[in-house]
Amino acid sequence: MEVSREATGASDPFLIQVAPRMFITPDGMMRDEFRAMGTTIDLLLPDKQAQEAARVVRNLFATWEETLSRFLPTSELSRLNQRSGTSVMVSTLLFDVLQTALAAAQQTDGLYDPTLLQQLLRAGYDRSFDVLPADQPEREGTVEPGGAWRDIQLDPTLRLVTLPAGVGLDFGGIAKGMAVDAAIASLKQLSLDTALVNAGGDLAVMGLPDGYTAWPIAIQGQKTSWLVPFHHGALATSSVARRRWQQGTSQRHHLLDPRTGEPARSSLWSVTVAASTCMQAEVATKAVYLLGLQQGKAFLIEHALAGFLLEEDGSWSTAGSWPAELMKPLEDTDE
Amino acid sequence: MPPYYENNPQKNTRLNQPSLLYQSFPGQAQPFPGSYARQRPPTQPPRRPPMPKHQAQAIVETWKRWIVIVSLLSFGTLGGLILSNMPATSTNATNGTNATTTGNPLATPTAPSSTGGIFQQPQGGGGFGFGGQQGGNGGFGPVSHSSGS
Repeated sequence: MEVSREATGASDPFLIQVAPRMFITPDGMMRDEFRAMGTTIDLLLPDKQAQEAARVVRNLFATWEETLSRFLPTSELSRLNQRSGTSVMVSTLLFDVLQTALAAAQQTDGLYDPTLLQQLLRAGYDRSFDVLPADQPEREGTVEPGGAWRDIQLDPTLRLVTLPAGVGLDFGGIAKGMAVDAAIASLKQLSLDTALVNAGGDLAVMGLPDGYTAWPIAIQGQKTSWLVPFHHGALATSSVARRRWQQGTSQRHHLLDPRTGEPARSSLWSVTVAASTCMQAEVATKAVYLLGLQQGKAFLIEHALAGFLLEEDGSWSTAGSWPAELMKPLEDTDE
Repeated sequence: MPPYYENNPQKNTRLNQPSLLYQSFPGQAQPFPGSYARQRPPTQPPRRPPMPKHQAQAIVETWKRWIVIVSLLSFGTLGGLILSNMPATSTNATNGTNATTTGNPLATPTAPSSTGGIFQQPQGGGGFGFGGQQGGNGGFGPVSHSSGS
């Protein structure tokens, strides 16, 4: 069992979370696990191709992290952020992720916003969460809302990016989701027909293990988890249960509301979305969380996605084609 | 002897003389039969009277009009093709307002797909799906999890 940092002490009941690590490795498959992009990457790969496949995926995540992490001062993203206000030629990877992030911002009417770096820093999230102190001092200054993504200029021909002066990028989960999708694509190129790639809860699957009719995936709640038979596609979950810290007298978390620039307030405790790609699922979870229960469900239906929405009081509901009838409660995760 | 040679006596230079090899090719050594021969009869037909000036001007005007129309259509089509392949730009700096699009090469990209955007589901399969009955897995426990990261 891996105890998350929140389990180490606070009176907030939402902080008492224990991540289940009693996962089954199907016959004929091998599990590999490593740290990258600020989270744990979990792989299920066919035995015979596991070594080569794991090496490819590890290299992929290492490259993505070296390019896109805002916590690495030498990353390409950090260098771009330092040069806001000027045109900078960037790599294909950074340009593609930025283009996708801006498209996501546009199609969520700014609910997903990749330009909230200054707001995150002000909220105290200034280093990787692994080393973030539980208590942060209050910071001076007023909080600006988001929306600066509208002023980013791109030149696709030369891959030039011009960030507005003083604006920095933090891709958040979209980069992780895209990395999962890229990993699945790489495994297909290696002729794998069965695999699962999970980056801290954002996962994608292809094929099925021998003897399985679906991938049994645990969806974590406050006290209860559910088992969902997932067949193909991707799942992502956004929750305020993790990545929380104290700043002065305020409880902070990493999901900022671009409309205010402050940590979001929502009646939802977590949102899990099923989609074709992990990028889609990741963006949709953020948007639904910010929209709240009813508008969030409408958003999912509008985009032909499926979702599982868990509220702070423990009640839950589904949207789209999410199979509530196939969900099976697991044992309590409290300890 | 080809008719070209007959009708251009001034150009009857040595360079225009058919070579021996050329002459030995019977198909080209003979006058071209058929319509060509009829268009260039040995005796010229009586000349038509010159076109009246107003008629000529009318024809020129018609041609001008068509040239303008075809040019506009061509530019329009070409411009449309270019714009459809060029990302739009966001020009509105005000928070909370909708972005407008222009053909500025320094552009904020539109969605990856103009029809379905980033949430577009793949055509003809793919997408996402859930499995059969839970018991279909023989009571297997979870192989992985999705939780807030």
